[in-house]
Amino acid sequence: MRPNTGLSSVAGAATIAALVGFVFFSVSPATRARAADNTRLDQLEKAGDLLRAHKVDGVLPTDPDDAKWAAASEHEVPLVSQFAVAPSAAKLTRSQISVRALYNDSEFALLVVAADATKNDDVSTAGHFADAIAVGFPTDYGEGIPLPYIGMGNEGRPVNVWQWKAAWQTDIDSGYRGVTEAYANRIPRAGPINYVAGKAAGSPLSQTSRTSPVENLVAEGFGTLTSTPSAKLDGKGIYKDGAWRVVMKRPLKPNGVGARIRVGAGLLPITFAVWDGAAAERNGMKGLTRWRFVVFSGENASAKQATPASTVLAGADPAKGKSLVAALGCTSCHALPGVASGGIVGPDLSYAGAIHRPEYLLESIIKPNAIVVPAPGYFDPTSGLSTMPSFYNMRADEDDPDSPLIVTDDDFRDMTSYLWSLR
Amino acid sequence: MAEVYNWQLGRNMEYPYEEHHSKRQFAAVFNTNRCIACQTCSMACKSTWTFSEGQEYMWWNNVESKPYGGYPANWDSKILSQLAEADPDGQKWSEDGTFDGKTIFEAAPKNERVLGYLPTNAEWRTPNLYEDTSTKYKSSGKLGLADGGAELPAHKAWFFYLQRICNHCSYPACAAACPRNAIYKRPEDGIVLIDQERCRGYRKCMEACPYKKPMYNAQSRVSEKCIGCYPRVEGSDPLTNGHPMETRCMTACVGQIRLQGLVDLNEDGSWKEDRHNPLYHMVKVAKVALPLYPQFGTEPNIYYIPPRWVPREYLTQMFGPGVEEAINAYRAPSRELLAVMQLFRRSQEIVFRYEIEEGPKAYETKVRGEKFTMYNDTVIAYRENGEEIFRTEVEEPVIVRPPERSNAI
Amino acid sequence: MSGHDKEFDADDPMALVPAVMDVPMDEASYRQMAETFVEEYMLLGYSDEKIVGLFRNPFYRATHEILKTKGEAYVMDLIEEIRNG
Repeated sequence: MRPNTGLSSVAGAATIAALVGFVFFSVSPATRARAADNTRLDQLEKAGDLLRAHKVDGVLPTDPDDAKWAAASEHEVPLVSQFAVAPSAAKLTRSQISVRALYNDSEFALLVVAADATKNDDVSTAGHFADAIAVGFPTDYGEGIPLPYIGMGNEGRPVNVWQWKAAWQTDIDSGYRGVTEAYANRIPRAGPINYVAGKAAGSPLSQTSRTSPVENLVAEGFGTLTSTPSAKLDGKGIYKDGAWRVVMKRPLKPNGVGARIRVGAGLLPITFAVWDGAAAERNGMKGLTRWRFVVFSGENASAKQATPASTVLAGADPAKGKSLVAALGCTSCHALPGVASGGIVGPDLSYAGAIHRPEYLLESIIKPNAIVVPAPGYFDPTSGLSTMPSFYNMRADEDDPDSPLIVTDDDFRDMTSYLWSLR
Repeated sequence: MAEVYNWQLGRNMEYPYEEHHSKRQFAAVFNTNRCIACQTCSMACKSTWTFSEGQEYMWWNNVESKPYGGYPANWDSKILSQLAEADPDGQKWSEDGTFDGKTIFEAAPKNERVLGYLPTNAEWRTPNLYEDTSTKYKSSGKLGLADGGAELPAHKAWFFYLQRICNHCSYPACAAACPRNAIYKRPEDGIVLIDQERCRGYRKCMEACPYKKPMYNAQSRVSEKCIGCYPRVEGSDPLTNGHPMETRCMTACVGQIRLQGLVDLNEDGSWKEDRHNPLYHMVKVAKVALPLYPQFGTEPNIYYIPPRWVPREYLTQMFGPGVEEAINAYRAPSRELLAVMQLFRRSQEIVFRYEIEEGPKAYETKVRGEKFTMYNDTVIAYRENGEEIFRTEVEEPVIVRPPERSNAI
Repeated sequence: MSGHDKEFDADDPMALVPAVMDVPMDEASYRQMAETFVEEYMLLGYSDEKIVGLFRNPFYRATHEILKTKGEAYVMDLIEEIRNG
């Protein structure tokens, strides 16, 4: 093994070694593993990265006002505007949702409460957009399986998205709102509705009869989001007192394409997105959170696949990281706070810590090609590789393997801790 | 952003995707000098494609009265102002015909791929606001008839009609902006289509297209656009008998101002030399027809013969720096151009090639001190497989109504 | 109040009320428009006399409007200029 220079933390060394492909053994007895899991869970909880799902008897509630929700603990989850990749919001907004989770032996359910000053459920003119709330899971997860890229996953690491739509809720509550319903005073036409291209082509948006306000989707990167049926994915949203209260629930098994939720098989990675129709939010214009983890109460789940920030970044110095980021010229491509004319070539990193996990941030600066963001401009279409340079293993004198590294492993972790602090 | 070559700008420009070109490109020439705004094209399109629920407001083909009309209202002045704001005093063409300003891709704010805006609902409602209708009048009668008779406003200033369909751009802004990759350009003919199954109704295309031709369908909740009558262009519509046929809006043209066809492209997107393709002749040889707002950067494929009574400054803003040359080519047409212009609307089929047989001198006259001679040449149009579609002569009989029938319909 | 008595509201997009556009017309643009008419007729092989007739005939609205606004001398000068350059 190549000697690491000046590593201050064994955990950090482990993370970097694992990232760059070296085998790193840390043989621990089983008893110590349990203690380690508990420590991890504590640290994740402290960082706000843990959501506790509670087990209840009987059928899980679909109604947001059901008394059973009182059994679930409430978690506050902050959101920031998706800022990394165009199209995105023109201005940053922060918001917060509260999340409760319940499960039983066959189902999993979430209650999301999102404050929203206006109810937007009408999409019957070109200028109207509707509110929506989504939850995302990796289709596959567990120890040793890396998390998908936060933005719609990436090749080989798909995500499963459940999107509840205010417009679909209204379709279910009061019937499909097409132009005939939206424009009551239009001249009635004789005969049935003519050919509607979207409906004929099978677009799920155009279907005039629905059974669920929640759409099941899978994606493997930007632009790949695909609607796919998932029987029994259900939900209900109620707008009351300036907030949407939305339940999404599904059997643990997907009944179609989607994430298989395995209680007792470790932490369930989860993320959320919220669209405000009043602000014309749709697609990448949305509020977003980083990956968090659901722990199923009463299960002795291994927590190994989630690395708390405090482990990845133990001993790292964000202030030093900030000056390194400036010195290495990162700002010529990336927008960062306090830099007058931040670059626009690469993703905007102004809120990197709000939407990315520290292990992802570390991975992406060490190995820019680990996940190539498939957005125009971010990669070389000929090679398919990221346009971002890596300083990993680059030495002051490239012909002299004993000359000092330009960026040490500690430097990488300092920079990561700086990016992680941007929230 | 990738670098692509835009021949209409004479330079490389930024575009979100790598440069790729179709084998052939759907293209057309519209002669604005001849349009009477009868809207037969608009109705031909509407009755074929946009007569369903959710399409009430859609005019994939529209004809607007410039400078004041627009569908949606003020579409062009709005995007022009946005560009001017993004690049103050920079939106200029240099002497050699290169565009020095910014395209809608280059002027995009960092949170968007394309500079644009989403028209308001009200802006879609008036396909040609301020078009001729009788002037306001007061009535004392119950029937609401004007006391002194209604009167049309007299046009004291210049105006002209601008016919617009989707430009089936070589670098479509709609496709660039679609976060779904639901919009594609067909490799066989360059027609740009929205995949109705993949579209999720985000309306980024509506926002990005500077010509505002993608439109949201509130019944299906996904967006639609002009499909270039592709079954006709393919020759797969039963009516075509297997021969590529021009679109509905083209073939319905009463004023015979439109000619549409397919041009062969080189791998680099330039037009293959095709001396006897009427579109090639008009755009590349006679240079009588120009793209609409080429400075937007999408490389639109509908070419316009500019209206020659309109101030040059306005025309240059609309059609780019070739205006003077195009007008000169049109006002004193060459013998060949005159013959090519006769190909408009003699058939519904796409003319792939023409030949000219010289005819006798019809008359001779003098314009601006120079001799102009009319020859009654015969122009012959051929379909793709080389068969003759029709032949027609340059001279047409002129019939003048006698004075006592001047106002007869 | 019935519809046709309604006062003109420039902001009402549904009102089918025409507006006479009071576009200021500079002399050069006006001349350019008039020249185009004349040139068009000359290319058709028309004689000067025939073209003057089209200005005098009120049923040729555009040409007649020019004659009404600018007078006969303007039209004669126009024809002379386009004919002989």
